[in-house]
Amino acid sequence: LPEDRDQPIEINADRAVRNEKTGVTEFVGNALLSQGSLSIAADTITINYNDNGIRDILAVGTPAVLHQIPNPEQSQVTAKANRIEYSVGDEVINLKERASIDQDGSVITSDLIRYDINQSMAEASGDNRVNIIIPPSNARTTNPPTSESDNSDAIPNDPK
Amino acid sequence: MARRLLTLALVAVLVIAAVLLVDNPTLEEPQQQAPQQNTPGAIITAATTRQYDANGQLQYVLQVDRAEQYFRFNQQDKPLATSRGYTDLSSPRLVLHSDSNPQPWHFSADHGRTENNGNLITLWGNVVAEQALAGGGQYRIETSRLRVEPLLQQATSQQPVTIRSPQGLGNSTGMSIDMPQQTVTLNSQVKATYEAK
Repeated sequence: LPEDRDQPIEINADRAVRNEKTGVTEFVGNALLSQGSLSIAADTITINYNDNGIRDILAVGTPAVLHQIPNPEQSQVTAKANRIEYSVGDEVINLKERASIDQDGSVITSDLIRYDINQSMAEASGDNRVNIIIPPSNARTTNPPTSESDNSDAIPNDPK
Repeated sequence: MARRLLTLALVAVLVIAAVLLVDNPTLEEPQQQAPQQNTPGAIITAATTRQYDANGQLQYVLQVDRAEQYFRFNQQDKPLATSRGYTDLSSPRLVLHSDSNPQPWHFSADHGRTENNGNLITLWGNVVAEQALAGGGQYRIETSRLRVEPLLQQATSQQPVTIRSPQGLGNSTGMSIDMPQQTVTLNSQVKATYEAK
C-alpha cells in the first residue's frame, strides 16, 4: 500500500550479525520482514543502511517470497525469486533467478523481473524466454462451480 | 604483618596485571570449585586500572567504586596464588580499546568480578555496553549479565539482550561482541524494528 513506506520495518530471524565496518546487518534463518502490507520471507535477509536509514534489502531463499498489496483497489501481488533486491529509496524490487510475479492469476516468469512498486509495473527480461500467463477474464472474476452447485452434467453420486 | 602482605598482593594484582597478561595470555576457566574466602583479603576504594599492551597501547581502563580481593584456598586451607583468586567490583566502568576501531566500547554494571589475572571480567546487574558510531549516534546494548575478555577484545552474554541504535531497536537471546572483527552477533530469537525514514 502507498503508506507501507511510512511504516516501521520489522524483522524476525533465528540469528543476526551486524558488521560496523560494512554497515550491514544479516538476519539468518527463517528470516521474515514486514512493513505494512509488504512482507518478505527468506533464508537470509541482509540490510544495508547508511546515515539516512535503510538503503536496500537483499533477501535470499529457495525461493524468497514477497507479498504486497499495491493499493486498496488491487489484490495482493506475490513475487518469488532466489534473490529479491528491494531498493527502499527508489521503491523498486529486482527479482533475480527463477523469478515470478503473480497477481489475480496473471503470472509472469523470467530470469529477471523489475517491479516498480509506485507504478505497480513489472518489466521482465533475461536469457531465457519470458513467460506470461493471463487467465481468461471469466475464469478470473467468477467462482468456479462447486460440486453441490447446479452443475447439471456432474456425475451423480453412485446410489449404492 | 600478614595484613600488610595481603594488601601488597592486591596492588600486585591490580597494577602489574599487564606484565602477567603478556606472560600468561592463556585463558583459564574461573576456579569455582576451590573453597572461597568469605572475608576480603584486601579492599581498595575508588580505584582506576589502566592496562597497556607490550607496545604501550592502552588496552583498557577499569574504574571501580570499590574492589574486594579474595583468595581461594586449597584443600589444606592454604591460599592459592593470587591469579587463582578473584576481585569483586562495585559499579565497575570499563573502557575497552581496539586497534581495529577508533571508537572504544564502554561497559558499566552494578557489579563485576575479575579473575584469571584480569583476563576475564564478569559484569552483572544493569549491564550496559555502548559504542559511538562512525556515522554519529550510539549503539547501546542492555542485558543482565556479560562476560568480557579484554585480551581477546570480546564480550558474550547468554541472557536476553536489548539493542538500541540510530536505525532502530533490536532484541535477542544471547549475543557476542567481536571488536577485532567489528561485529555484534545476536544468537537467537532475533527481532529488529527499523523506523521508517
